[in-house]
Amino acid sequence: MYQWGIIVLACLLSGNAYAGVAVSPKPYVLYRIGHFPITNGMLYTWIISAAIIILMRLFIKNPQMVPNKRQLVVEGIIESIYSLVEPIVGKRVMGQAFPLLIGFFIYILIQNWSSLLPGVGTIGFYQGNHFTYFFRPSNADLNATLALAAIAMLAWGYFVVKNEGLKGTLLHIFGNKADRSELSFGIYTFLFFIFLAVGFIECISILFRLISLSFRLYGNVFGGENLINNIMALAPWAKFLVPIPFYFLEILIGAVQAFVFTLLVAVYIGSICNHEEAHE
Amino acid sequence: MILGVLAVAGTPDNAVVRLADSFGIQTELLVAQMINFCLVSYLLYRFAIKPVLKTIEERKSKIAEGLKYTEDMKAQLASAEQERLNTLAKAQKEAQALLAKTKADCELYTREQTKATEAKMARLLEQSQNALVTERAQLLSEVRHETASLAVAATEKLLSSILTDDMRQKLNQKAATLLAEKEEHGTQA
Repeated sequence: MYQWGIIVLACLLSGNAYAGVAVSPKPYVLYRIGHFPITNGMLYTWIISAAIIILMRLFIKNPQMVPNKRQLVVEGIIESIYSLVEPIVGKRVMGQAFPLLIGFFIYILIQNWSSLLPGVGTIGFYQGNHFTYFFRPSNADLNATLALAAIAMLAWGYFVVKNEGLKGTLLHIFGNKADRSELSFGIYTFLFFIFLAVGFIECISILFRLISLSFRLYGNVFGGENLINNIMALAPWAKFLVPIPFYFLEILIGAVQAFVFTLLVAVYIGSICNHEEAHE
Repeated sequence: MILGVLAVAGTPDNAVVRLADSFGIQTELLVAQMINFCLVSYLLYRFAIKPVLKTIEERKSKIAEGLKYTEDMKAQLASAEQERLNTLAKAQKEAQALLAKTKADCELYTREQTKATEAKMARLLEQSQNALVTERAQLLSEVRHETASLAVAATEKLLSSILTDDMRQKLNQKAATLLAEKEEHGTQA
C-alpha cells in the first residue's frame, strides 16, 4: 500500500524534517488493521497515554503523608485545579465532575507538551517526495480534540440532567427568568416568548460548544506546529537556535489551552448546576 | 453528534463531509480517541489522583486535629494556669486565716497559761502561807508545851521540898487546868 522509504531518524538537533512545508491538517494513515486506520496522531496518542499512566505510577506509587518532591508536584497540580474549579462547578457537583476535569487537564497538558519532544514530526519515512512522519501531536489531530469535546459535552449533559433533572434543565434553558411579582401580566407573557427564543439560541450555542472546544484546542496546537515549522524555514542557518523562544511559547500555550479547556467545561457544568452564588 | 450530522449530511459533496474529510475525521478514530481518553482518565484517577486526594484529605484532617489539639492544649494550659493562680490565692488566703487563727489561739493560750500559772502561783503561795502558819502554830505549841513542862518540873522540884503530897496534888491539878486553858487560848489566837 505504501512504498516504505528510508526511515529518517531526525531528532530535534537535526531539525524538522518537513521544515518549510505546511503541516498537513489531517493525520497520515500509517497502517490499517482491518478497517481501522492507525494514523500517526493515533499512534502518538497511545504512546503518550501509556507514558502518562506509567509516569503517574512512577511519580505516585504510594502517596506519603510527608510528600516527596514528585508527589508535591502532582499534589500541587491537583490542588490548584481543585481550588480553581470548585467555586465554578459548585460543591454539589464537584465530587462527580472533578475526575473528568482533572483528567482533561492532565491529559491535554501532557499531550500538548509532548508535541515538543524530539522526534515528533521528524521520525518517519519518505513516500516519493512526501515525508510521512510517525508521531503527530495528539491535539494536532481533530479526531482527538473532537473526541475530548464530545466526551465533555456528553458528561455535561449527564451532570446537568442528573443534578437538575430534565425538567430543571429545560426550565433553565427556556424558562422565563423574570420576576412575576415585579411585572405586569402582559410584559411577563411577552418575556416568556423572548426567553423561549433565547432558549433556542442557547441550544445552538450549546451545540456549537462541541465545535468551539475542539477547534480551539486543535487550532492552537496545529498552529503551534506550523509556527515552529515555518520559523525553522525562515532561518535555516540557525534552525537550532531561532525556534527556542517559540518552544517556550508553545509550552505556555500548551498549559493555557489545557487550562482553558478544563475551565470552559467547568463553566458549562457550573452555569446550570451551580446555585451557590444565587444562595449567597 | 458530529457523527450524526455527518451521517445525515448526505452526499459526499456536502460541505460538512468535505470539511471532515479535509481534517481527516473518521468515526473509528473518533471512537478510539474517546475510548483512549476515558481509559487514561479512569486509570489516572483510580491509581494516581484518588490516592493523592485521599492523602491530602488525611493530611488536612491531621493538621486540623493538630491545630485543634494545640488550641485545646493552650486552653488547658490557660485553665491550669488560672487554676494554679486561684489555688495559690486560696492557699494564701487560707494560710493568712490560719496564721491569724494561730496567732489568736496562741494569744489565748498564752493568756490562759498565764492565768493558770498565776492561779497556780497564788495557790502555791497560799499553801505555803498556810503551811507556814500551821508550822508556826505547831512550833509555838511545842514551845509552850516545853515551857510548861519546864515550869512544871521546876515547880515540882521546888514544891516537893516544901509541899505535902496532898497539896502537891492539888497544885498540879490546878496548874494542868490553867495550862490547858492557856494552850487552848493560844491556839485560837
